[in-house]
Order: sequence, then C-alpha cells, then structure tokens
Amino acid sequence: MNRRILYSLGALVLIMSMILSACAPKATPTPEATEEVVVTEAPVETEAPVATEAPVATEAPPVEPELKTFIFGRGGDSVQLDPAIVTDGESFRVTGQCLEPLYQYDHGSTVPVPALAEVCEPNEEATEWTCKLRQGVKFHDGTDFNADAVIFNFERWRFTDNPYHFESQVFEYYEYMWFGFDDASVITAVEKIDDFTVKFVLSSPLAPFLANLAMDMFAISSPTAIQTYGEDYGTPAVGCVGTGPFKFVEWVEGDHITVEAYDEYWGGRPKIDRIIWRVIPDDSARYLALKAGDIHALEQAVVEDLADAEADPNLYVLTRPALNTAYLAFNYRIVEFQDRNIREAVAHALNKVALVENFYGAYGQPAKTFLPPMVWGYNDAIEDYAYDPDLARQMLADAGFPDGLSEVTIAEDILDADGNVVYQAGQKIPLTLYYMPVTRFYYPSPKEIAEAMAADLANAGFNVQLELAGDWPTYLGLRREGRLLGLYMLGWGGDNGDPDNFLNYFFGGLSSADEVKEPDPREGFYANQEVASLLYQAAVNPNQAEREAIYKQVELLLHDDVARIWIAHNNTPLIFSAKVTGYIPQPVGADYYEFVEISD
Amino acid sequence: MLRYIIRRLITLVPTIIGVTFVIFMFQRLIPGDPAVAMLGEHAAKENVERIREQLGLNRPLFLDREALAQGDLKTFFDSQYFRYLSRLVRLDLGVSIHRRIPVAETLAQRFPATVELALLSMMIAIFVGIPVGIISAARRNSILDSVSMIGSLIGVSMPIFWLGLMEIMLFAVILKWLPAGGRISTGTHIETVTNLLLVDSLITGNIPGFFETLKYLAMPTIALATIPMAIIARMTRSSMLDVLQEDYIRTANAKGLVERVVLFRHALKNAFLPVITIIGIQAGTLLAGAVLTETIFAWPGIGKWVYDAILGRDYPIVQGGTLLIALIFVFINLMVDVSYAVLDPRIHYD
Amino acid sequence: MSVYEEVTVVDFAVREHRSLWVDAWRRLISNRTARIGMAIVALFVFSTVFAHFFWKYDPKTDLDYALKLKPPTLIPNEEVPSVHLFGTDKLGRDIFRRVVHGGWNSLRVGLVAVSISLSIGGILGLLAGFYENIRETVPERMALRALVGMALGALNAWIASQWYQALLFAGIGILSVFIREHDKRRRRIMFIMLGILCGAVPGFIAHPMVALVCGTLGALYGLFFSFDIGGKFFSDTVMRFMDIVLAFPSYLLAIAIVAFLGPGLEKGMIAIGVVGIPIYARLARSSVLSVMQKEYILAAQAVGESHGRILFRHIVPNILSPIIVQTTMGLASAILSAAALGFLGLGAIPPEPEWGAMLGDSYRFLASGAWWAVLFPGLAIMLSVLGFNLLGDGLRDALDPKLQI
Repeated sequence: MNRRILYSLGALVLIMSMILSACAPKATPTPEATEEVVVTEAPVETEAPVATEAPVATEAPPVEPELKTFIFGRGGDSVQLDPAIVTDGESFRVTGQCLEPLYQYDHGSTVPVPALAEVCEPNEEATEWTCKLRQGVKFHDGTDFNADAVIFNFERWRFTDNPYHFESQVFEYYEYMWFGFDDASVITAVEKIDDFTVKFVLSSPLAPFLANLAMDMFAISSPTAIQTYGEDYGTPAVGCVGTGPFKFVEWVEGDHITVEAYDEYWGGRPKIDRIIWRVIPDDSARYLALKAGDIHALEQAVVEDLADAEADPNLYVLTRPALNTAYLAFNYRIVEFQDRNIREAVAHALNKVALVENFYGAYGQPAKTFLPPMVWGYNDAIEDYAYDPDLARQMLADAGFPDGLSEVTIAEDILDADGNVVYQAGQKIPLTLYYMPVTRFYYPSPKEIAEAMAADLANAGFNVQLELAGDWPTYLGLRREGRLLGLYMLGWGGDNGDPDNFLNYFFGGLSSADEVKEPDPREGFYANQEVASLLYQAAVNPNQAEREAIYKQVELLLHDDVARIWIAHNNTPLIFSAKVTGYIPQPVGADYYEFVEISD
Repeated sequence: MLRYIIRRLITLVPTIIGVTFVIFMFQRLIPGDPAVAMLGEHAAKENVERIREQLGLNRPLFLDREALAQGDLKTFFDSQYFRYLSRLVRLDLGVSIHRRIPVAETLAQRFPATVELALLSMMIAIFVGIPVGIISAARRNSILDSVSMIGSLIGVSMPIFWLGLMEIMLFAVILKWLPAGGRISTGTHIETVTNLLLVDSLITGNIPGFFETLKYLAMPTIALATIPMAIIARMTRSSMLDVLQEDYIRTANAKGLVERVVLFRHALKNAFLPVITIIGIQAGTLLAGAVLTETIFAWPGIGKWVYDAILGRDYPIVQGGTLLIALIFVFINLMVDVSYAVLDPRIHYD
Repeated sequence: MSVYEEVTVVDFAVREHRSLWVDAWRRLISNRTARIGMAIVALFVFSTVFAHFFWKYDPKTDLDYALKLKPPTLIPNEEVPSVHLFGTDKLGRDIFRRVVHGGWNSLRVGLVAVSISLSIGGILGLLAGFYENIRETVPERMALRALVGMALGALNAWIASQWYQALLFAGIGILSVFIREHDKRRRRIMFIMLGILCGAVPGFIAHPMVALVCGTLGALYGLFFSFDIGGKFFSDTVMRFMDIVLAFPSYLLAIAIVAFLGPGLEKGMIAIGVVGIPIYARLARSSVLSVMQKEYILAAQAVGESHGRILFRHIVPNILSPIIVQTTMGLASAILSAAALGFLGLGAIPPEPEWGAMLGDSYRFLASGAWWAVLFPGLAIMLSVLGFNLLGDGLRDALDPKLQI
C-alpha cells in the first residue's frame, strides 16, 4: 500500500516537473550560449578527482583578468535598445554608447556638432541639407557605414509600409520631430549624392534641423543587423549594432547590460574596456552599493545622501545641467481657476525656495519660467511671484473667497474616453491636488513635495485635498483626458535643447498661422491664442535671434497669465567614486563615456 | 490512492480556468493601458490607439457579441481571452509588451531566484522551527518554553518589510558586513546551469562564488524565514502537546521508556501531520514570491516582477506570472493532501 | 491544554451552574498571555481614541522645514525648541504624534477589513456547511435554482442582447423543482429540449448564429438542471470560488484590487477584506460540519424546527469560539496587510498619518542615519499586531483549548 502511494506521488512530481520544464524555453538561444558551454566543460571534467584544481580553473574564467570595467548604477532598466522605437532615458543611456547619430551634442551643452557626418550644410532657403559623411567607419558587425545605411534608417523610420517599420513598433519621435510619417514628414526625401554624401530635402524650412538630427532616436543602426534580426533588433537577445565607441555584449533583463570597448572606433578606442549598467531601483540602496564599492557611479540620490557624498573624500558629485521643469498645472475646466487672480494667489502661496532646498538640495533651482536657464530663449527679466501667504489669502478674499477655498465648480461637462459624462457642469467638487505615483527626475519625491505644497496652500486658505489618482499609467491616462480635475503635478524633460521642444508641445501645435488654438484636455484645457500664434511664427522662422525674442515674449505672456506654476529645474546629481575620472554628463543626449578612466 | 490524486487533479481544472478568468477580469477593470504606460508624458493620442490595436487590446475581453449578431461565429470567439487560452494550450505564454521578451524566458530566469530564496528560507524555518517546537513541548512551562513561545509570537507579528529595513540598517549601513541588496555582485561570474546560483556555483566548483551568493542571500532569507519559522515552531509545540496527552504516550512513559525514545519515536511521528500542512502552506506563500521582501532587497524574483508588470500594465507578464503562482499554490495544496494520505494510515481516500 | 487547565475544568464542573461565557472570561483573565495581549490592545485602542478626540492633530498644515529629520529630543534645546519623543520626519513633523494618530487609521482598517471578511466569508461558509448536510426545503431549492438559472441565463441574455433570456432560464430552474420525471434519460432529454427552446427561439430573432450559440448554451443549462441541483452543489460552488481566491497570493490580489478601486484607506479596507473572505468561509464551513453531527442538531431536525432556527439558535452559538479566535488573529494580520499596502504607497492618502506609509516614506533616509523615522512606526505595527495575536492566543486557550488555528 505504502509503496504504491510513493510511486504515484513520484509520478505526480514527474508529471508536474515535465509540464514546468515544457513551459520553460529550450536552452536560451543567446549568441553567447555557445561560448558558455565550452567554459563549463572544463570544471566538469576535473570535478571529482582533482578537487583543488577545480576552483582554480573557474575562479579566473577565460575573461581577461585586467579588464577595466566601469559599473554604473541606475534606477530602472532599458526598455529596448533600438532608440527609434523607445522614449525612455534609460534606453538612450545605453544606445548612446553603441550607436551614433549624424550629429551629436557638444560636451556639456546642447550645441549640435558633427558625429557620423563631417558636416551638414543648408541651401539658401534652408530647405535642403547636404551632409558629408565620415569615411572608413565600420559598424560593429563589420559592415560599412555609408550613404545607403543612412538612407535605410531614415526610410525605415519614415515609411509605414517599409518592411522594417514593424507593426508592433512605435516610431514616436520620428513622427513628433519630423511632423509625421510618409507624406506628412517634413523630410520629403533623403537622396544619395555619392557613397558618402546624402541630401535631406525638406518640405519647409525647419529651424532646429541639426538639433533634431542629433537626437538619440535618430542614431544610425547597422542595416544588416536590422535585416537579420527583424523585430528582435533591440531586444535583450540582440541588443544594438552601431558605430559607437562601445559594442553590445549582453543584457540580463532587470539586472544589467554590458557593453565592451570597440577597438576600431573612429574616434579612438575608449580607455575603459567594459561598461556595466546595473539596475538598483531604490535610491538609497543604490547609494549604499556605491559606498560599498559595488558600483562606480550612480544617478539620482536622496538629498540627505548627497550631503553625505559631498563630505566623503572617496566620492564626488557631478551634475547634469537641468533641461527639465517640474510644474503644477491647473485644470481650466474649473471655474475658480479661470480667474487669473486665484491662480496668482496659488503662486504666492507656495514657498518654492524652501521646497526646492528641502527636496532638491543644492541641485535644484526654483523655476520661474517653463524654459530652464540653459535653454536659449530663457527670459531672465521675469520676476517670479514672491512667497507671501498673507497676500495670497488677501487675493483669495478679494476674488470672493474670504473663508478660503475648499470646494470648486466644474465649468463644463467632463467626458471620459468613451464619451460618458464623468462630471457635470456646475457640479461642486473638493479642491484637489493630484500627486504623481512615481518618482521622476524632475520630481525627486513627489509624495512629500505634494504634502509640503498642500501645507503651504492650506496656510494661505486653499484647503486642498491630496489625491493619488492611481498608478502611473492611470495618472497619465486621466491627464490625457483632462480628468485630473484640480491642481496636478507633472514635468517635462527636454529632448533636444531647442525651446520649441518645450513650448510648442504644450502651448502651440498649430499647423498654420491662422489656426485657432483649441483647449487641449491633455494640458488641462489651457488655450492661449496669442502664445500659440507666436509659437507658430517662431517654429517656421530660421533666424535664431528673432526666435529668441519671440520665446522671451511667450514666457512673459505665460508668466503674466499664471498659466501654470513652474516649480523647479533639477540639475540631476551623479555621484562618482573618486577612482573614476573623465565622465561628461550631458543635458540631453547620451553622456560621454569614452573618456572615462578608472584608477586602482 | 492514484484514483484520489487523479480526481483531485480534475477538480483543479475549473479552479485554474477560474483563475485565468479572474486575471482577465482585473485586466479590464484596472484603468490605464500598456500604451500609455509605454509612451509616458510624451504620448500622442494616435500612437496610443495604434498600440492598443497592435496588441489586440481593442478586441473584446471575452466574447464579441456584436460580431455574432452579424452572424460571424469566428469573430465571436476571437477575443483577448480566447486568444490567450489558445496560446496557453500551445504552452506559449506570449511576449512581454514593453521589452518584447518571451514571458517564459524571463520566468525561467526569475523563478529560480525566487525558488532559491524560498527554499533556503523554508529550510531555515524548518530546521529551527521544529526543534524549538519539540523542546518547548517537552519542557512545557519552563523558561525555555516561555522564551521561545514569546519569541515565536513576536516573529508571527513581525512586519517583514520592516525587519528587512532594520537588517539593512544594521548589517549594511552600520556594520557594513553584507550587501544591501541584489542577487550577486557584478564582478562575480557563475556559470548558469540551473539558475540556482548556490547549486550552480557548487557544481562548477566555484567556491568564492558560493560564498558570494550566500552573502547576498543572508538578509532576505532571514527576513523571509521569520514568519514561517515562528508558525512552524508554534504548530509543532501545540501538536506535540496534543499527542503527548494520548494514552499510548502515557503507556510508553509508564513502561519506563527513555524520554528521548518516547518523544522522537512515538510522539513526533504522530504530531507531524498538522506541521506538514503548515509547511506546505508557508512554502506556497514563499514560492509565490514575496513582493515586499523582493522590493526591499532588490531581489530579481517573480513577486516584484509581477508587481511591476501590474503597474506597467504588461498583461502577458501579469497573466503568465500569476498563472504560475496560482499553479504552484494549487499544486502544493494537492501535495499536502496527498502527504496526509501517505503519513496517516487512518485516512482513506478511495 | 495543560494538565493545570484540565484540573480547573473539572473544578468548574462541580461548581454551581454558570454561563459558558462567564467561565471563558474567568479563564481568559487568569491566562498570562491573554492579559498581556489585552493590555497592549487596550493601550493602543485607548491612546488612539483618546488622541483622536482630545489631542487634535491637523496633518494638513503640519510643515516645518527647520525641524526636518531631527533625532528624538527629550529636552528642548536651541536647535530643536520642542520635545520630540520619536524625532521628526522629512517635513519636520513630530513622529510620536503621527504614530499615535496613525493608530486610528490602522486599527480602523483592521476592524473594517475583518468585518468585511467575516460577514461575507462567515455567512457563505455557514450556509455552505449547513446545506452540505441537510436536505433543503422546496422553497429553498426553488430560490437556489432560480438564482442559478438567472446567473447562467445572464450570459445568454448578454450574448443575444435579450434580457428576458435570464428570466426564461430562471423559469426552467424553478420548473425543474416540480417536474418529477424519475426516468433519468427521459428527464435529461426533456430538459435539454427545453433549454434549446428557451435559448434558440429568442436568439433566432437576432440572427441564426445567435440562435446556434444560445441554443447550445441552453442545451448545456438544460442538461445541468436535469441533475439534482441542491445544497451539495451550492456548497461545492462556494468552496470552489474560495479556492480560486486562495490561489492568488494575498498581497498581489490586494494590490490588484486597489489598482482597480483606486488608492485610499477605504479602498484598502475593501481589498484586505475581500482577500480574507476564504479564510472565514473555510473556517465557518468546517466548524459547521463538525457541529452538524451533534445530537442536538439531529434532535432539532426531528422536532421539525425551521432551518433558520436551527442555524441561528443551535449552530451559530456553537461555532462562535473558533470564529472569535480567528477574528482576533485576523485583526492582527489585517493590520499587517494594511501596513504593507501603505508601505507600497497604496494606503492612506497623505498627509493623513498611517504606519505603513510612514515607513515607506522614511526608509530612504536610513542610509543617512535617520533610524528613528523607521524604527518607531515599525515598532507600532509590530506591537499592535503582537497584542492582537497574544489576545487571540489567550482567547483560544480560554474558549476552546483543542482548537488549532
């Protein structure tokens, strides 16, 4: 009896394990797999008899002993390593090392300088750009970089019927920076003049052409790699194949990505041999790992830890120049917020300076305009609304709320995505401040910042209720539909250092000079015709000085209207071990790793 | 016996189908979708729509009644749920939305991490909990008993995420003995065979790698082992006490048998049943992945993975991961029941 | 459980008649662990309730950058001009005050969540256990089959967009109680035909394909009703549902429910409550099953007492002790779960204080040495949970030493 039971138990276990193993993939077919099999064979042979030899054999696996490895700790993993189809900074951080665009940004600035192109020159109307390409450059897979490669990449991005413009992929930035796909694209043709010359033909002049060209998303991948791997190009199994200073080695999802120096790099072989990006999601855990020597550098840390790092002789701090703005937006479908004086009262109520000092430390800058100071077009003449709770209370009283504001009125029906009325016009709802459920580089600790803002507001008579609308996708989804009804936190990180990239996305978006700006739910239904028209003029004007004047005027208009409350620009801190030198953080685009050196 | 097992396996089928059904219900009910999660602050409306379409999210969740009203039976069944089921039958868990990695592949990588952590924790819990329980029962009402029982009550009451934080503070921040989180340091290289690093490092003879792995395992293991350990100790004690009151134990004592023999040969065997149940349940809970412990120690297991997937609306991961977890739960329950039948001759199932 | 207690039980037996509950109370207060547990629970309940009503705290305006992250200060000095027993947090708020007021939220979550699990799970388990062993009356069977028919028919009604199909199948359910066709095969065929009729004919109005699908489903339902659908079926279905809920890890399920309902203390209560339902259902069912075999139930049945009377007069009082013990322990685990949700940022809406959220906000400052912001909220969680566990332990010893929960 007992034995039979045991047999049946055994059979059950066997069946279950078979099912489980059937679910698992067959011996992961990564490119490295074959190499590793060879490695494991050695110790297996020596396993039993020569016990002392076994550990020696594996202790130093055939990885070269004196490999200089730079380990960088970061908060999240990359999404994919094909930059054209992703939008997150963690992906660009890696692709920027293995791929290069035609232009890149100069060290520590947003000025475009040649990279894979030697020079790009416009014709007189600025509707044609002719680019001379660098010669003798090879992709990591050994194929040549030439005009065909550039054209292949641009056509893949642009044409939705291109065989490599895969259905499942979203070429978000091509559409956004070049105004659309196919016929809508502002680049109407990329022509091959000779093997190392291409000509971009534009449908109309585009002021920030070079700045756009230098963006990470428009880096050139090896056409052969894309043809070989198809949809798998950019996934952990394949990685990225470009011309950059480092070539892809491996990607263990959620854990680390490794790249190694590319010996034939046209700019000279990097001084380090490998870079490993390690994912350590928690800010403080990442800092502890740095202190323990597990990693050599990290980005984004708790303010208290930064103070500690500055006091530590083994560590030093670099900052990434701020190309971002955190803000507090009004939803204009609320009657009270349509009153400019109430908006100004909110501006006076917030103690921005203390807030920035407390939550951003020395690395934040209180914001008075949307454009950060490092972007041209920044209007330093604007004077910010001063922190003055009494004045705020007074203004609120003058606007008809002597006892403070705790309930607001819906101005117009609010619909959800399916067209159902979620809030009716005239309905009263509590005054709410929606805070972000996740940390972003512009808001280092959104929940506590929200608590502080709410306390400031309460002291000035705004009896505001905090609300978590849900997790990040929910939050963004509600914001898209204009359903964050109240004040809400969000921010913007610039893509290319051009003011157009900041202002036009939110306040412009016109496709002709006399188009009427419609209130966009995504922006809390804010619409300012004057600003929108000015932004259109700036976008089509090739003269930078004139554009700069327009942007300054736009900033002033937005300030006078208190369109939003600009909170802070964050110069994101990076902490390094003192052993590391030569790292160049970039405000936008990939950092320069090729000059990094590590001493022992 | 075999018939009993088969019957139990059959009753599992509706449970499993119910589980997949519930997972899908939640998918519809939770607002926000992968497209928005993917595109972030920059999302444009058209792209959101397009991604939804490409992922099949614009298909109805369960059945398409509009198509049926047009007389289209095939489209009627062409829903997200039936697509998922048909893939499942082919043992295809799909591809993650955000990274396009086959879910099964990541599962094969992450599940061993959870297994390693869970098994080690369970071993500690069992090897500490059971002896403590036996000694407490044997020396009932002694100081030893009071101390260990109060200790185990505190253990049961412990918020493990807090315990984890306290461990980090003590061992990583103040004493700097152990790493604060992660599974293995970047410099250490262990050939992967089973993906259980302890086992792998041993079979490849990588002794430094073995100890390195242990260093990373130490804190999360202790945090995870606390509650099962306490529960097992308590259960062992009360179960032993019950058995010790039985007549045959009194007889054995009266016969003048050595206490050790009475305890281990007569009492323990019979006191074991409820303990096994508890061990099974606890092992199931640990194998299902400890979201909080994995979060605190940055442990690349399945609990954190599924949690992140819920937040990122990566449906294939949520579906695949939860299904695996549910299967484990159900399977362990079955094993517990079967082990009852094996251990207790009084229970007959046929 | 111990020899000592056996003696006292004998002792009680020779005394004059005394209520069971009075006995239990005496045993409870003579139990040391229970006394400690009661003391801890009383301390938490009293301090939070007292603070809530007499030591007002307005978290909304509580902000003082000058006092941020100060260690515990017992004697005011120049740097910290006020007493902070537990130190202050990142916003300069007094942690002691927030811990005391946070207790109000944590205890509330525990109570409400357990009430939800207990009321739903307890009733389901009670009914499941009861009807598993007892032949249901005709009205009960009618109600059950009508409900099942309605639920099954709802699918048909949805597919065909014809709401009345649900009613038709409810009708078949009721009918099946009264049609006494004993030949199995004929009964089966009869009901299958009936089901096809009810599904296909209305479906045909919409489209022949709809008729096909609804007819097939109708046939299945008909086949189903030709069997003896009674208490056993009800009990099995309920417990199968509980199995499904139990197959999900509790934290993940709670997180998913919160993701659906939206964050907040009230939503957290619901999530934790729902996750706990199966535990009470199983416990109630197994307790009922053990009571059902007792002579007094058989006697009550023989006398012809109504089902409701048997349930509430004879069964419920006799299964109370395990439920009370489980409820006490359930309070402990609900507080723990609430803290876990709060830690993940899914609990109380800030600035409302809550222990788990306080931990979640402050642990990032551990590396820079702010241990107090993490230690005290954690201790509060642990102590309150410990208090309820001790009390539960003592209650078990007092009410029913044989229980194993």
